[in-house]
Formats: sequence, C-alpha cells, structure tokens
Amino acid sequence: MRHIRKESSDTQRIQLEDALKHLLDCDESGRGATVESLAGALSRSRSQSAVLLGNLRGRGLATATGDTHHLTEDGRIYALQVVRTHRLYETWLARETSTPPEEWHRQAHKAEHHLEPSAVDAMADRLNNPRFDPHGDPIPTREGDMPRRALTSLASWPDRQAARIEHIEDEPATLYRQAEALALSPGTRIDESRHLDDGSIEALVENRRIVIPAAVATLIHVTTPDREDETPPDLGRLSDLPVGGEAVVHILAPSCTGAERRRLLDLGVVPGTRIRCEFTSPFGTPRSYDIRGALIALRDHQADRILVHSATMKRP
Amino acid sequence: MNTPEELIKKTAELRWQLPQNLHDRISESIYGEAARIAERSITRGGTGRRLAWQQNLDRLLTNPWSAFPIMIGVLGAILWLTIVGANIPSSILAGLLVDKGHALLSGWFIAAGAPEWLRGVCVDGMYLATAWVVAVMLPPMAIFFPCFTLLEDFGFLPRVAFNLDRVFQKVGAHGKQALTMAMGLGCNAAGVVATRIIDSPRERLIAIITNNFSLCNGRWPTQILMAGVFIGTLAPTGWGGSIAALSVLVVALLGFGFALLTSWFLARTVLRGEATSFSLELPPYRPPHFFKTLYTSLIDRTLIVLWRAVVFALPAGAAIWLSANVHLGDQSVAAWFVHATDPLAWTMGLTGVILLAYIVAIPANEIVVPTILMLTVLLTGAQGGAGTGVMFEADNETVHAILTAGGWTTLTAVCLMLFSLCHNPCSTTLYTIYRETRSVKWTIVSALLPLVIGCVLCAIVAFIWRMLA
Repeated sequence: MRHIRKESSDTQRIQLEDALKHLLDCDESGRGATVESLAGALSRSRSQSAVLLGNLRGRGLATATGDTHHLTEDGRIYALQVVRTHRLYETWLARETSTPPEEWHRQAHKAEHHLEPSAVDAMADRLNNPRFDPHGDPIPTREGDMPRRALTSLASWPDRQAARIEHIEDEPATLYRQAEALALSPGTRIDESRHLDDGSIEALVENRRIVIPAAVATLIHVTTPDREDETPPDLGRLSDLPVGGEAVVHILAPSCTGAERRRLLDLGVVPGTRIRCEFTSPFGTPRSYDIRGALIALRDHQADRILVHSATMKRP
Repeated sequence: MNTPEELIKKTAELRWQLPQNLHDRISESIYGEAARIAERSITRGGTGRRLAWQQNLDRLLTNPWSAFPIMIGVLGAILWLTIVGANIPSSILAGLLVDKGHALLSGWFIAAGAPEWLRGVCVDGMYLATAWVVAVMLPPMAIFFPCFTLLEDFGFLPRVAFNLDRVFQKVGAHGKQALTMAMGLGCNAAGVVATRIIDSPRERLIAIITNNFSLCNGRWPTQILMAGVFIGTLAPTGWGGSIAALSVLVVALLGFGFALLTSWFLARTVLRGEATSFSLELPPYRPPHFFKTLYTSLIDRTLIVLWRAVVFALPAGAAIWLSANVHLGDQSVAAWFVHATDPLAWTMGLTGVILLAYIVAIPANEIVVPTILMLTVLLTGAQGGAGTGVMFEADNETVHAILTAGGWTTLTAVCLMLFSLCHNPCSTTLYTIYRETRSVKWTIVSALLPLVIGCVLCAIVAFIWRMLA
C-alpha cells in the first residue's frame, strides 16, 4: 500500500483508491464490478474506467473473469484500509467535532486518501476502537476484519412490525439530508410503520408521526429491535413539555451525537433525571429548563432529542 | 477449542454482535449511576425550587411584551447616564490638563530654552493628544464600564443572550454570539477572544467578523461627543441629553442590525451551514457587589483601556503635529492629504480631516475625536485659544465652534457616527483576529467588510440628505 502511495501522483492515487472502494462494494454485495459500473460510480468515461481497471490488474490488486472484476487478496486489504480510514474519520468528526452530519462524508472522502495507516490506528485508539461509523456501517478492524451483513431496507419491511434503524446510506447526499432532517439515525426505533399509496412510509418515531419519502426509505436499513429498546407508552419529547410541566428523562435519542450528547450528559441529562420547563424566550425557542437545580436554556431542536416519560405535565 | 488463538477469534466475532449503541448505553448508565450516588449522599437546604422573585423577574425579562423594551431601555439608560454624567468631569479634566497643563509644560520648555520644533512635537503634539484622550475618554468610560459590569454581575446579560438566541439562529449564527457582542461593547479585541466559547469553527468565524459592529469603548466617546455636540443641540432646551442618548442608542441598535445582516449574508454565502446546538446556563440573579465591581471595572477595564489609548496617543500626537507642520511645497503634509481626499470624503458626507484621522487612528479608535479636533485647529487656524494647533477649552460649544469652522454640518456628524460604527477594526483587534483565526484571508475580510459597508452607507445617507435639504 505504502509503495503505491509513493510511486503514483496524487490524482492518480485518489482515482485508484476510489476504484478499489467500488470493487470492494461490488464484492461485498456479490455483484461483480464492470467497466460500466465503475464508470458510473466514479462519473468517468468508459475508457478512463477501463484504463483504471487495467492499472489495478497490472498492480495485482484486481483480477478479471470475463467482464467482471474482483479484488485480489492484496486489493481487498488495500480497499479495506481506505474504507477503515473513511469510516473512522467520520466517526471522529461525529464524536469529537461539531461538524454537521451532511459534511461528514465529504470531509472523510478527502481525508481517506491522505491519512497514513499509523495515524488511522492512533485515531482508532483514541476513539476506543469503535465498531460502527455514525451511519451504522461497520468499520474494518486493523486486521482487516469486517462482517458481511444482510441488510433489509425499510421500504421492504413488513407493515406494523417494530424496527430499529441499523444503517443509513449517506449517498446521495440530498436524500441523506432528508433522513437527517427527520431525526432518523442508526439506533432510532420505528413503530407502527405502514406503506402509503405513493410508496412513502408513515411511522411513529419518538412519539411523533412522520412520513418517510419512498426514496429515503430505500436508504434506511432496519432490523428487529432488542427487548430493552421497548418504548414506554407515555414516551414524549422534552420539547413537548408545557411551561411548568415536569418529566423524567427516558433516554437521549440516538440522533443526538458527539459533542451535543456529551454536553447534555455533562449537564446531568441522564435517564431518571427530573426536568421542569421554567419559561420560554420571547420567540418560543429556546426554552429554559430546571435541570438538577440549574437553569439551562435549550433550543427546541435539542429538546426534541431528549426523550422523556411519565410526564406529570401538571401545572404548578 | 480453548487455545488462545481460538478465544481471540471468538471474541472478535462476538464483538460485532453487541448492540451498536453499546458505548452510549454504558456511558449513560455511568452518568446515571453517578447521579444516583450524588442524590443519595447530598442533602439540599430549602425546597430546591427557585425563589419566587427570581421566577417572576425571569418571566418579566423574557416575556415577549416586556423583554425587548426592558433590554433597549436598560441600554438607553446606561447611555443617558454616561452622556449626562460625563459632561461635567470632562470639562473639569480638560480645563486642568489641556488649559493649565499645556500652558505649564509650554512654559517649562521655553524656560529650558528648548528649540521650537521640540516644544511643538512634545507639547503641542504628544502631550496635547494624550491630554485630550484622557479628558474625552476617562469620564464616559468610568461611568459606562462599571454600569455594564454591574449588569453582568447581576445576571442580566445571559437573559439577553437567551432572548436573542432565536434571532441569531435564524441568521445562521450561534446564540452565544449575543454574549460575545456584548463583550465587544467593551472592547472588540476582547469580544473576538470571547468567541472561543463558540465550538463550531464556522459560527465562530461569523462571530469574529461581525464583532466589529458592536460599538467599542474607543468609539463610544466619538458617538457620545457627536451626539452631544451636534444632535443634542438640535433638541429643545432641557432635552439635549435625552435626544443625544437616543441617537447613540439608535446607532448602537443599527450596529446590532448590521451584525445580524452580515451574519446572515456570510451564513448564506461563504460560511454556509446549519446553526449548531447550544446550551446556555442562566445563573441565578444575585445582588452585585457594588464596590468590588466598581473597583475591578475601574482597574480591569477603564484604566487598562485608557492606558492603551495613552500609549497610542503619544506617537499619534507626534504624527499629527508633524503632519500639520512639515511642509511639502506651500502646504503641510496633512493639508495635502486633506485637500486630496476632500472630494471623496464629501460624497460620503465626511471631510478629508476625518479620513486622515481614521488613518492616524488605526492603532486605536479612542484618538479619532482628539485627532479630528487637533487637525481641524491646525489646518483651519480656528481659534480655541491662542496659537496654532493649541486648543484650550473643551466644552461642547467650543468643539461645536471649531468643527463648524472646519466646515461641519449636522450631516457630517451623522455620517461620522455611522462611519465610526462601520469601518475597519483597530489594529489590536485585527491582530487578535489574526491570532484567533490564523488566517490572513479572514483578517482581511474582517477589515474590509465593515469598511465597505461604512463607505456605501455614508454615501447613501449623504446623497439622500442633500436631496432632501
């Protein structure tokens, strides 16, 4: 890997690494990569794509059987390292910085071609060797181990069966932003889902009824929730609490990540904490809450992500 | 089955089967456990509920109907107190430092047989500029800063940030920008440093670039003097102070508006992105320690800021005197510059003297007014006392007379107030911006953005004013 990095120019290396990622993708899903599929994935011409594949074969990173290309063992190790860098970098952005989610992919895409493996391992150590990136994708271990998963799309999930989001595809970016705007993220529980006539899905998410567009639903992969994910019947969001009302924190929503999550935990917003809504600002948001004796102002957007229960909702 | 290799392999497999959010769950339960232990071991006095008067005060200060009138009213009251209160000590100081001090020092130089140019640079230049800075700045600062610190101490400022958060969120900026802007009302360099409380680099840059729209202490005296000398005199007798305070308040609010507008512009163009989350602690109200606050704000803010002004006023004073007394051909350097820039300045409703003063005053905004006065006197030969370039009386009527002799109208004063709000930050602030951003590009943007806005704004105002006049 190192020697490919040394001998090729920056642009060429980036193209090769992107091509390797595409081949890995195809191998994982069992599709097999072709000149056309690579040209489509990298938005290059057919001839450029053919040259790239020839280059990979020449380096012993890929082999061809007829039209379809597969990674060799060396190619797979290289590709996994690039993927590992990308996903670890995204995890780092999500946990340690306030970079907005729609930026993660773009920045990680830049970083994956430049970070040295030793720097990546150091980053993994600092993050306590995370297993999944913020989109729910498994991060290859430093030994190159990555499980294969059978993913079920929300679009093909049976109606009315409870589900938990396992993974959200971050491309295309516009659709990912829509999922982000609906506060859907890996770990989010989906209840009472049902297909509407236009293919979109109506569901109960964190006590709110939302409609997930059909195109967005195909990006979302779900699984059966664990038993401890059971939602209490009176689950609500802190933002729905009336002024003067009191509630007990059930859990922080999975969409609340990184610095925001840590800050809330630091303030003592943990399961079991009693919170009282004291007053609102002249514009309605932020509102101030009595949390463990301190008066803390939170925007509705944040209070949305604090799930509460047994809200006595009583007036003072 | 139990060889070490097999065990390691097995654990590696099992690792993937743990729930995805395991980490979050573990940290949550650690926090939860810590909270339970704390609850069991801590006994709190009282009911744990907030005091009734604090609750009522919070309702009053955050109510949609009363919040904004109170906030604006408090700022207006401080300005009024500063303008009205600073008048008398300013005259006394000016009489002492400028009138008596200048004559005394001048006498010593003559008695020592010092050459004329040395007396000019030292006494007419350096000493006089410094004396002016102290006389013009010390009284308003000694009133304004303690008032502000008292409010900060009391817990009022976080409520202001709380009330304004929605506005900042709408323009794509951070809610804590309200706090850094309030800090900027004292000193922009301090405001820029204060933006460290904002985590997101994008929102922090916005806060840094727009901080200059908070009128800093170096510019309050300009605003206050212009308002008092020109705008206050338009008002019927007895109302001068209030009208002057009102006009300064309008300029300060205009600055707030510009900060929002440029934030909005930046967040839509070069610094795109969503507003990130924020949590703000609203500390309980507590009676401020009056004398302690008075003492610390006098030492920490007033004297330090004044010292900085004096340090910059000394060389600037020399520069002013030299520019007015070193001749190129038949005119002094200052006269050359002033005459060359007069037409440009005229379109902006200003004068060449003001532009020159702003160049001399790049190190410190505090010396703008003294520079303008000295240059006007030096160039027009307007007599505030005896001798070229020497002014003795510092009361409003004399200033008014001198500036009118320099060709000033109410329009000039209005445009100067606007230009004082919107122009490049002082060199200290620019250096601080560079240090905080480590970027020459953003430092240049921070310098030029307000300057361009100021030039355009003044030109528009001057154009409309002359159309109507």
